[in-house]
Amino acid sequence: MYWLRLTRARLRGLVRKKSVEREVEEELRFHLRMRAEENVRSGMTPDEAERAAQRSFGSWARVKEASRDVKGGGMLETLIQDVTFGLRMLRKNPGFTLTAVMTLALGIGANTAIFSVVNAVLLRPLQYPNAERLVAVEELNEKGSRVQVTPANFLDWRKQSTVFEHLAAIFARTSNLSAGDESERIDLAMTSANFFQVFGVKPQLGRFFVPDEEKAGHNPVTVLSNGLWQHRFGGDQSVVGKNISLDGQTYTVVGVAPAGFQYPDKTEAWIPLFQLVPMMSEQQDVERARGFGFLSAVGLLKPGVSVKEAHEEMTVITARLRQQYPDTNNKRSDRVVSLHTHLVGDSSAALLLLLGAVALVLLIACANVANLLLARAASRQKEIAVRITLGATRLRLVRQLLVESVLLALAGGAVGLLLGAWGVELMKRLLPVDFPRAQGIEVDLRVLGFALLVSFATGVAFGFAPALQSTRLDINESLKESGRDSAGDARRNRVRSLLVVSEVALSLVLLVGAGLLFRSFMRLQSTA
Amino acid sequence: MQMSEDALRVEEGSLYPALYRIEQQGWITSEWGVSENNQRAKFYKLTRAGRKQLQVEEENWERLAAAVFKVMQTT
Repeated sequence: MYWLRLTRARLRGLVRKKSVEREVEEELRFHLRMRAEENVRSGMTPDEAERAAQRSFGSWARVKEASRDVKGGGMLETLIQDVTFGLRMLRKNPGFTLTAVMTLALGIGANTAIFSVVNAVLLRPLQYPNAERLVAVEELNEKGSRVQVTPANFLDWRKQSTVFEHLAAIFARTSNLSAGDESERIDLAMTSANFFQVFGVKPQLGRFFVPDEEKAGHNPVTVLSNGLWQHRFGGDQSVVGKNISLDGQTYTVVGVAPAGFQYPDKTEAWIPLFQLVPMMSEQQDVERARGFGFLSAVGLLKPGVSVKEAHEEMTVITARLRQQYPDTNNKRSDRVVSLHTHLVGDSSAALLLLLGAVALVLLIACANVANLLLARAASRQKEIAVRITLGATRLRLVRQLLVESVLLALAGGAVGLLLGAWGVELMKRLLPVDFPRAQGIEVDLRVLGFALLVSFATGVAFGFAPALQSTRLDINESLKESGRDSAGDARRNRVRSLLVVSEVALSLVLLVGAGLLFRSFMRLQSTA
Repeated sequence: MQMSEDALRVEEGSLYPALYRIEQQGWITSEWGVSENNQRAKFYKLTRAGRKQLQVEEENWERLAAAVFKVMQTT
């Protein structure tokens, strides 16, 4: 309640400044008049009475100032003053402003671009109806690295496990699609029939697979992605029942997936897995294929089952399979992880490292701008000294300078956001084609919020030390023309060399980090 | 003598910022009216919250005064 009333009073003081001030003045004048009349009644001459009244009243200016502080816009009013003044100062030094803004824009832009990737890949939850119950079962070799799941193991998992509502297998590959005269290369996923149930999506058109379509000898059918349906068939409703050819074999379209559903990434069509892999249908071939993996497995956990429980059950099953088929399975183990972890996997460490690197770049930019500010502080020393002499408190001056640097940072942030948006486009083109969830990378509200927050924090970070530094000065010295090599100058120089030292240190860390990154990248290349 | 009186005197003007602050706390309300000798003047009135606050402050003051009194007696 109190805050509400106070805010209302502040706003009133801000908007109706003149009338509030007039009211206060009228009240104070009334006080003086009454006191003077009283004095006259006690026997003073009118002149004397007025002077005595003024004497007992105290300083008119100080009382008015204090009243304005209480009744006026308060903080808000001084903030607006600071902002207008800050803008004027920035306009007055276009060279300085431009340099600082561009330096900051580079730092903030790099951070915005990388954060958009982190946001899309790591932070944004999966966009499937069952997202929080989706898991992947990964098969691991003796070194603990991920390998493809063998069909025989997958069938045993599906038969023996109880924790999954559905467990589906996927074999992703590319295929030659021809429909009509045109043919093109598309990403194709061969899946078990229950694949779409795992994700809980509903067909846009027609239906998804039925269990029998997994079996050999059944008519070849396919489900199209929404995108393929749009661009190859113009969104034609009668596409269901039509035939298309994949790698020369004819498939009947039975359904179209909803817009936005593409799993694995970029998949344009799905076909049942086992009809193209005849070995899956006959038990002896399955056994022979136990050592040969080409699948990945995704599952929908039953409600209430945790990832850990699923993992424990799968560990038991794998141990049993190891005993049963020592030839092929004795070195295999498995791991159940959330689908998000499965998708993001190795890229999360690299992304966080990258984010750390651009954060360092921003820190270096901060140090640079702080240095510029300190250099400029020398030329503003007189202005500040005059303001202190005229009664400005240090707090007020520090706040003024901080507002200026936050304004600088926000301008840098705005330009940085443009650079960042451009950087996002660049990143999307530079990222490896199989980078997970890459198509979702964009500048969204969260990225905007991030950029704003970073700009604000940046402004305070690089403005704080210079603001403290330049308001701590010896007025007598700096008002004199000869106050060149005062103690304040020495202190300022110390801060500046500190900044340079930290800049060099940061750059060194960045350089070493980049070198290490490059080396591990090279190693990754050589193993692939 | 004059000097020490000055040092202890509270300037009358400082009443007003204090009044405005109390008003913003909601302990008093004010309105413009006309005084006995027909001049436009501002009238302040204690609100219910103000009366309650006054009681609290009175108790505080009494406690403080009692404490001071006790200290003065023991020395």
